[in-house]
Amino acid sequence: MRTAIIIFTVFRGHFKAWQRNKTTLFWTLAFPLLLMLLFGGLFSLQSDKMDLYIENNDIIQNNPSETSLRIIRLINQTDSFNILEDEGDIEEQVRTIVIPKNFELDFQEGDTSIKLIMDDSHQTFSRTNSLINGVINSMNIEKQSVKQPITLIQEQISSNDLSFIEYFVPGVIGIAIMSTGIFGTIGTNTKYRKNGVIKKLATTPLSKFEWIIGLVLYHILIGIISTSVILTVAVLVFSINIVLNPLIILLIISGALTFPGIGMIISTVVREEEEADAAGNVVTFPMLFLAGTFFPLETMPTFIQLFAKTLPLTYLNNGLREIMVFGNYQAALWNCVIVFAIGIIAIAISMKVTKWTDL
Amino acid sequence: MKQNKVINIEGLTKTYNEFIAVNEISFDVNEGEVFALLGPNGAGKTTTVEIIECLKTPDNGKVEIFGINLEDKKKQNEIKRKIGVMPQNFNAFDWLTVKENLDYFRKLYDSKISIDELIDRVGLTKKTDSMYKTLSGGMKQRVGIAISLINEPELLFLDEPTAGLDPQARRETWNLIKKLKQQGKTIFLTTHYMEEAQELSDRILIIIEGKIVASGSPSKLIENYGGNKSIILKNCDRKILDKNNIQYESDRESQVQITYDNNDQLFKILASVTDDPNVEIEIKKPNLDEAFLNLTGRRINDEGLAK
Repeated sequence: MRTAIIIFTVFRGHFKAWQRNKTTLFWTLAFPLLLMLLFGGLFSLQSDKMDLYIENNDIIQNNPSETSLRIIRLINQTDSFNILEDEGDIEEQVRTIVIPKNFELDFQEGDTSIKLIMDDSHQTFSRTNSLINGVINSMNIEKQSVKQPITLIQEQISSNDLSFIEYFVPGVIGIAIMSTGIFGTIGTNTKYRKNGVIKKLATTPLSKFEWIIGLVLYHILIGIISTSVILTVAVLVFSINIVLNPLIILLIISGALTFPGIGMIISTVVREEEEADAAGNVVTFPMLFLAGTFFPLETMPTFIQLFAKTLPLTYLNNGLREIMVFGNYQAALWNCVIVFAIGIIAIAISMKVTKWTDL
Repeated sequence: MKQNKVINIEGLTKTYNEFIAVNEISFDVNEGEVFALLGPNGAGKTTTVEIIECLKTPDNGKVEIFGINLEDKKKQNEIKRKIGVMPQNFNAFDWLTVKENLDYFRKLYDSKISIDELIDRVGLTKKTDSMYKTLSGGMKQRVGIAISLINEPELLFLDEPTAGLDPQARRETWNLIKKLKQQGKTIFLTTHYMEEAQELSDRILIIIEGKIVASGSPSKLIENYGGNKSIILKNCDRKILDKNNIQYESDRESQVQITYDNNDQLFKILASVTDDPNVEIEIKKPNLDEAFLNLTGRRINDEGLAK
């Protein structure tokens, strides 16, 4: 009970200081948000039009029928799609339109359909669906004799295609947890050691175990707060779909063990405050770019992929992405277990190397 | 009356690599006294006091606090609960207020002390809700003293409590320490200020290069090592002194310095100059500065450096 009160005291002290210090607030909240808005904005501007594959089965004497060509023309006139010829690999294509055989004939009869093959959980689904429906409605109006000559049927596929922002948001959360964990811990520890706070604490009954656990709890709370803020802004600005699951909290906890743990270990080596940032950069910089935050690891050379597998942020990013974007619990859990294990090891080492006497 | 030993140290030694910081020192601290470890920077004061505070591990020697041997690591927490410490260059949490800082440390000790009362005792009532980082140096030191009292300790360690403070803030801190002594606390002080040691302490241990040079009450140290009492006469007619067979030294044209051992000699000197209307008289008492100079051959400047 006494230990719990002491740990809570340490935790609350860190949290209050965080709330009051504009610099730490900036790095934990504003910086990841700016990063997300900047990159998310840039990439969404770039890909204004959506790829649309069209499989046209209405061939008359080796030529597409007039009606099928007309509907394709109308789709093109929406100015929202890059129309591409179907490559037959439905799973790889985010959105595919299938025009059936005898489409022209059945349209004259007043009973045909168009198939949209797409993942309805994809962030562009509702936009795609309403654009195609608009085109179909405009054709249906001509045929007033029949109520609804063309209907739109949706066929579900599970799509692995992510827009940049969907890919990027879990990575932003990963970066926020990592940089707060590492820079925050190195910064406060070197400062407190230099200005004598640690020495004062060491003269009290506070143990280094209680000090470190209080710090980890604080990072868990900060992680939850920054994740909530990032997700809220991501949903509001980029209207992405996020799977909310308790596994996200478990991943944050694992990150809050790992990165402050690493920060504690570094701060036993770094003596000066000025060196602290440099040391933090040495550790975070490779992770920032090589842990799959900005681009998928699969697109990188093999040796970088191998290196990335040694970085804890890779697993945190993967775990967050699997659960938030794909809803893949098993893969997320597996990544979470890896980060958690690294976290336990990092904390165990930091308990060992943190000095409480002979400072 | 036999006094209770609160601290008992025998043959304490601590080295850093090749450097011997503390070299086989032995001393006791008695209950209720203000004990000062006096010496220049680098003399081994802080090393000694930090060993007693369980912050450093000694290489050799026996250290007992309240009869508990420091070697027994499991009992260190028991010691920590009984002592209050204000380390050298003390700082608390910048982004917490005075009250929050005190509450933080109170929780670490599970103490029931009234924080408002404590803040009042150190004269910081107006600053209760001020952020620690906005306080002046003197106020920060007072927060340090308040925090060191949070567990109502029997033994208080103040390591250079007035270093870097302006004269007024130093005076205020001294008054605070005197009040604590009146309340019966045992106070272990380290300082490089002669005046501070002389003003506050019952007993002084002079330490240089890790070794004890002398110890005793301030008056004893001054008596033994402070040299002779002297009287300075300005604008006096030296012929009168010569006529009365009074020996004098003179390092300035306008004044002479005459040493004496007892009041009879002093009255004789004064009687010889009673008719001189121009003379100015200044009686110089030997002080700790002189004693320190005579003992060590050096003086300590304000920054704590021996010259």
